[in-house]
Amino acid sequence: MAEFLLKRNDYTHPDADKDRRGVHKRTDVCNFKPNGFSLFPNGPGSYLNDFIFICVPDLDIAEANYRESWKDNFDYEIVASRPALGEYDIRVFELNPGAINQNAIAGTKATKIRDYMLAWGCSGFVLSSTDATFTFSLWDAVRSANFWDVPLIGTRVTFVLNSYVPASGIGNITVSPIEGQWGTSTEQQISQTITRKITERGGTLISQIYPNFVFEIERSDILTRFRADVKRRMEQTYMRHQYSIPQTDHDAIVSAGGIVTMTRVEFLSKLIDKMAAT
Amino acid sequence: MATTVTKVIDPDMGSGYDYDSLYDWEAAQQGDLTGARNEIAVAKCRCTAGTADTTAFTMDGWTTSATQYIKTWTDTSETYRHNGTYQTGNKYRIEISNTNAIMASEEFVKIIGIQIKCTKSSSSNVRGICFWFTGDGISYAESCIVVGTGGDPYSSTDMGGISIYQPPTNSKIFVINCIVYGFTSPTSISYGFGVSPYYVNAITYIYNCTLLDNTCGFYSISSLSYLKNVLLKGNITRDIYHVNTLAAHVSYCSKSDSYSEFTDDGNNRNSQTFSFVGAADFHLQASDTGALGYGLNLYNDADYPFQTDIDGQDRGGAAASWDIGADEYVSSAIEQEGFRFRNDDGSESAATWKANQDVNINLAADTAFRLRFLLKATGNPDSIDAQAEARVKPSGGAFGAWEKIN
Repeated sequence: MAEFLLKRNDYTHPDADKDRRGVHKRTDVCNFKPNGFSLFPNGPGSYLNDFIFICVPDLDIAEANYRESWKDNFDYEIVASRPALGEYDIRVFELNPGAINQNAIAGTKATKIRDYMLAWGCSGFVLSSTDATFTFSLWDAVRSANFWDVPLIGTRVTFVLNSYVPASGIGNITVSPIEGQWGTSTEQQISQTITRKITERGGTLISQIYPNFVFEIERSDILTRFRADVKRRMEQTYMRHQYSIPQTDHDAIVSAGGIVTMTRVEFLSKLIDKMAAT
Repeated sequence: MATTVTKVIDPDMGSGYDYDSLYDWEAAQQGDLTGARNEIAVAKCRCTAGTADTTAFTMDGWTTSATQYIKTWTDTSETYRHNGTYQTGNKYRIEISNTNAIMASEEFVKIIGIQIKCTKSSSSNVRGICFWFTGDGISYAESCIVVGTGGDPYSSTDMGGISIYQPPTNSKIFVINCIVYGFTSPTSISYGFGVSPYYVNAITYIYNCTLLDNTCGFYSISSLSYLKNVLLKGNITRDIYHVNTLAAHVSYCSKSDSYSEFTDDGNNRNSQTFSFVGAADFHLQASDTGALGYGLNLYNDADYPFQTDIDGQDRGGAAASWDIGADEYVSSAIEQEGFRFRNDDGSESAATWKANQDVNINLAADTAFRLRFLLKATGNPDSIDAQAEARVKPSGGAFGAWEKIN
C-alpha cells in the first residue's frame, strides 16, 4: 500500500556532475508515501503543482523504498602480499559500477582516490578503465599524513622502524617529535596528539618517554583502518535517484491528470534500475 | 532584489501547508535561484499536530548566491520553534536513523531553529547537519539543537552532530547558538563529535554553542576555526581536540576538562562546573559559576555580530556582559500588571465589566463574580515555577487562607 511521487517538471543544472548527482529528474522515483496520501484530506498543499502520483495499493510500504540514491560502495581485493616487506598489492573497485561501468573507478574519480591514497603512503598506482591497483605498505602508511591526520608529518616527527616480524606482521616503531616544529604546543599536547592517533589507527602504545613514543601495529589492522578511512572520506553519491520510469509513462500520467493507480506488477514492470540499465 | 518565496512544511499537513517534509520541499523547489527566479527559497517549518519529520534530506543540484539563498527555519513569530531545549509535541523536529539528517551540499544555506535527533544502529555515517559543498560560499547553522541517541556500535563511521567537509578557501561556515549533545563513538574521537571541521579550507566560526556529552566536543583536523564563547561539558574523551595545532583559535570558551589549548588566548576556562536548569535543559541557572558572565561580547564582532541567544533572548548590546554557551541567563519574574472585576452574567468572553481596571469592589457574601488579571513576564517564563493564588477578606474581618487558582 504505497504511493510514489515523481516531479511534474524537469530541471537541468549546468554543471553535468551536479546535475547527475544532485537533481531530481522528472522521471525519477522521487519519494514514496503511504496509501491514501494523494486523497489529501486537508487539501493538496503544493503537491499537485509539483508532483505526479502513482498509487500502488497492493505494494507494501516496506517494499516501497525506490527513492534511494545510487551511491559509491568501494571494495578491495588483495592481489598479492609480501609479508617480509609488510606490503600488499591491492585492487580497489566499485561494487556499484553500473551496467556499462559509468560509475567505475576511472577518470576524475580514480584520480581523487589515488590522491587520497597517496596521502596514506600508497604507491605503484595502476589505473584501468574500471579499477585501480596499488601497493599498501605498513611502513609507508605509519609515516603518512593521513595516518596522523597531519599534513607534512615528516617535517614534524622522525620515525624509526625498530623491528618487523613477517610471520605476525607486527611492526615496532618509534616516533619522536622534532623540536621547534610544533609551535607553542606543550609536551602534554604533543603527546596527546601522537598517542591518540596511534590508538585510533589500531596500534598499541608500548612505551612513552618523551620525546620517544614506541608503538606496535599489525599490518592487517592498519589495512582495515585504511579501508574504513577511504570509504568514509571518498565515497560519494553518483546519481540522485537509482530508479525511474520511462518518459512515455510519465507523459501519460500527466495527461491523465497527474494521479494514476497501478498494480504492483504493472508498477514494477515500468521501474527502471539505472544501475542495471544499459 | 531577490523575491522571498516561502513554503510551509508541516508533517501533519495542517492548514496552509505546502509539503509534509523538507525532503519534498527540496525536491519540488530545487533549481536556479540566481536566474529568472531571482529568489530566496524559504522553508518555514511547522508541526501542527505533533508529528516529527522523519525523512532525511539533501540540498544539492541548486544554484545559489549570497543574495539568492536557501533558508530552512522555524519562524519565531509562530509557535513551532523549540524553547532552547529539545522538545516534542508541537515543535518542529527532524528525527532520523542511520543517515545524515540534513546534507547541505550547496553553498549559501541557512538552517535556523531546527531540532534534529539522530539514532545510529548501522555502519552508515550519521550526522545531524553536514556541510559538504565545493563552491565558494557562506552557510549558517543557527539556534539549532542536535541530539545523538542510541550510542554507536560501529567504530569506523561518523556519529556526529555538525560536520563540515570540503568547503573551499573562499568560504565561511557559521555555527551560532547551537546545542549539540550525545554523539558518541566507541573507539575514536574523530568519529563521535559535536562539531567537526575536517580538512576544510574554509573558515569555520563556532560562536556561543553548547557542546555536551559527545565523545569529543569539537574535533578539528587542519581547519582554520574560531571558537568563541563555546561551552563544553562532559565530552567523554576531550572537550576540544585539533590536530593541526595552530589552526584553531579558542577564545573565551569554558570547559569541564583540564586540557589547555594550543592557541589559548588566556581567556579560556578549564576544569569548570556548570549549573543547568535540568538534565536535558541547558539553560544556565543564576547560580552557575562556569559560564555566566564570562563570555566575550560579540555584538560588534567583525565576522558575525549578533545579540540574541538560542531562544531569542537579548544578550545585551555593546556594553553588556555575555554568558558562554547557547543560553544567556536572563533573570525571570512574573508580576501582576493589572486586574478588573466582571459580573458573572455570561460566558468568559461575554461577561460585562463590574468596575474599571485596578479598582477594588465590595460584594455581598456568596456573590459570584469574575476576575481577570494581567501578568507580565520578564526573562524566561519557562524557567519560572509559578502558581496563582487568591484570598478573600470579609468586610471588617481578617484575610482568609490563600487558595490556588486552577
